[in-house]
Amino acid sequence: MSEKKFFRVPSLVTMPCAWSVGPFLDRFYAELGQKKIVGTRCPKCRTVFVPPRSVCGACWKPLTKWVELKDQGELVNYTVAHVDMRGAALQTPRILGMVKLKGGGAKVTAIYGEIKGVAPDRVKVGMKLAAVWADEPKGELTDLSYFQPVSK
Amino acid sequence: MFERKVAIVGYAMSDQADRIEDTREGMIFDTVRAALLQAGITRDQIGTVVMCSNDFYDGHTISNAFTVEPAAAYAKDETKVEQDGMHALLYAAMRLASGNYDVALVVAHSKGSEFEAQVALSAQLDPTYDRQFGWFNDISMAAFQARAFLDKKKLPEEVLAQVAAKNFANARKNPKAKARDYSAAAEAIARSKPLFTPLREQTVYPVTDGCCVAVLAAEPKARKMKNKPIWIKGIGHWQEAYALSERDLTKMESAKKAAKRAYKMAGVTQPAAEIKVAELSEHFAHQELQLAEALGLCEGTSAAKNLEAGRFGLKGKLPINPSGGALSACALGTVGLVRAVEAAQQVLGEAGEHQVKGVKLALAHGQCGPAAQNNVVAVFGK
Amino acid sequence: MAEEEKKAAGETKSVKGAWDVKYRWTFRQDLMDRYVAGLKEKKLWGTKCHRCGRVYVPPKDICGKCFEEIDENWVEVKDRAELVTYTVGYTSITGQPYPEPQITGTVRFEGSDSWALGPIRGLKPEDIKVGMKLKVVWREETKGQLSDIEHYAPAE
Repeated sequence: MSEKKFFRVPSLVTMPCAWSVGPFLDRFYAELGQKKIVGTRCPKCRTVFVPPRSVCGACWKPLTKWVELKDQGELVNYTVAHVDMRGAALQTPRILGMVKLKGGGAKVTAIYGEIKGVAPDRVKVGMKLAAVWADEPKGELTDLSYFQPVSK
Repeated sequence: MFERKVAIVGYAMSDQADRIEDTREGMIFDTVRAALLQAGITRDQIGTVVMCSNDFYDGHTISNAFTVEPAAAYAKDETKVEQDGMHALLYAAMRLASGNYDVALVVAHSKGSEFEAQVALSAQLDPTYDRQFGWFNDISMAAFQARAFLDKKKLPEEVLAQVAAKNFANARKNPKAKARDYSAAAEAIARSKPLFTPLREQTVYPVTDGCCVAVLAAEPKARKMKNKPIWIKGIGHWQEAYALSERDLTKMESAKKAAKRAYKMAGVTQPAAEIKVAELSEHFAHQELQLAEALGLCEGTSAAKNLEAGRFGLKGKLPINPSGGALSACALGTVGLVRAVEAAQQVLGEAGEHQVKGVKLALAHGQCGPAAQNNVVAVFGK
Repeated sequence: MAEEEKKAAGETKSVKGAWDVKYRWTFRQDLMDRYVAGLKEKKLWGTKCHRCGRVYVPPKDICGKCFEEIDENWVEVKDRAELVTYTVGYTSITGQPYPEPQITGTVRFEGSDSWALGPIRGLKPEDIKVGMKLKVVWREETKGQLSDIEHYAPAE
């Protein structure tokens, strides 16, 4: 048997992509540019989907009713990131949250957002939060810069 | 219900470790050859081959085009799934149940040491929204699920370390698991490097290289093979909403529904009593507890209490992951098939040092998607 | 198209991203070393399946047809080849027009059962024929690299 030897070839596969977001997210992003957060409501189960969906998976109903949410809500879930997406350590941990916004009734799906203005060891599910907007919103995800605790 | 019964009649797996001294093709070739030898068949007897890998893991599209030959699929009916090896097993079983083939080969592989796992995994997320945040990968998605579960059950984070400690202790008895140092006790695991809280380095799967192969056969052929057939008594598959915000993260609804179908097909009415060992794809420590609850494997309703009482330990009433599970070793895409092969070995009494005594029915689980969106549950028995 | 026109045509916002993953692929060094060492001497070496006798150039370690490992069964083949098939390219793979059409051929070396790909020069697209005899045109000073085979040209 011959002695097998191996070598490794480093390679970076880079393929730039551009995705059309479709009419529902298109309106969502445009409304962010007006400092507004919108979703769509299911006519059957009444769930408000934020960001908006075109169809309710559970009820299999097309969603046509638009709802504007308040830019305040409650933290329903969070994780404190100590590493970035590729696994590199962060100098300062970041709080990544899921926030249920007010103004859509009982069933509103939570929206992702970074939480600032509270220490990672003080963050609590249930805390009241308000959106902090970019000074000059452009219809981008980053228009909603982050959420911070509502001052009492 | 299958028209014809289908069984595992042979298997092989590579070490689950960084296999720097091996090409992908070499790893697959060696493992498939070992499985054919173990099953006592030649390549000519294989009707169909179902592979599991992922183009993003392999670094090129339609990546199975390059692995046809080492997988013994040359000039055969071959396809690939990009979910989990357990899904590949499901589809292979259906191909056999259909009556079109008598023998199928299921081949799952990946070489985690050759790619940036979390970058590749983030490609499973919605590019028009989720990926635009730049912080989502497989771990941060699952972290939300872990937080939701712990909060709902009022459990401390340390319970995650206890799951890992149990599985690491099992992995010490599994010669195939070589992904980490398994000596850590719960206290040390609970202090391991935080990634996305409450998940830490040692409560998240370690990505390795690996290949796992199962040989399946349908009756009557399955009864004429060299090995005793280990039948797929029941199998179920379920899917839930993609978006975390549209699911109840405290439960694993799709795993529960998948199990319900598998149990119905297998005639299992009291899973906690009838299932004697379970191999679960707990990619993250909390998922083992969530799965144990969703799959009805607990005495009472709290998996954490069952764990604490030692019921899921190797010498417990219903050992979970005697192999060490995915927390001990995880070649992405092979995990569910490894669980299925481990379950079959348990029924056969061939699990070696981590053998559980007197296993009549064994359960195996596979998953894919962010925070276990998609689940397959199978019950194996003689 | 202007933004307004795109909107009117039903186009929606576009967001960017990339398949951007680093890989470290593993190869058999011993096989490649032996092959490129041959190229340096202007020789072509391949591996021969123990069972079916098929010769693979460049070398393979598995004969998929027989499901057999090929171990240390080296054979030398001639640097003359037959054209198996070809294509005439008028644009690059990204669609840029070439100044001159480029012929890419699939060739089988005499003594080999597998095919190799490479550029064919020294003839016009209208003169090329499947089955024609070709020769390897070596780089003047071979270095033990895959690019030691510069191209293929019609055999005299």
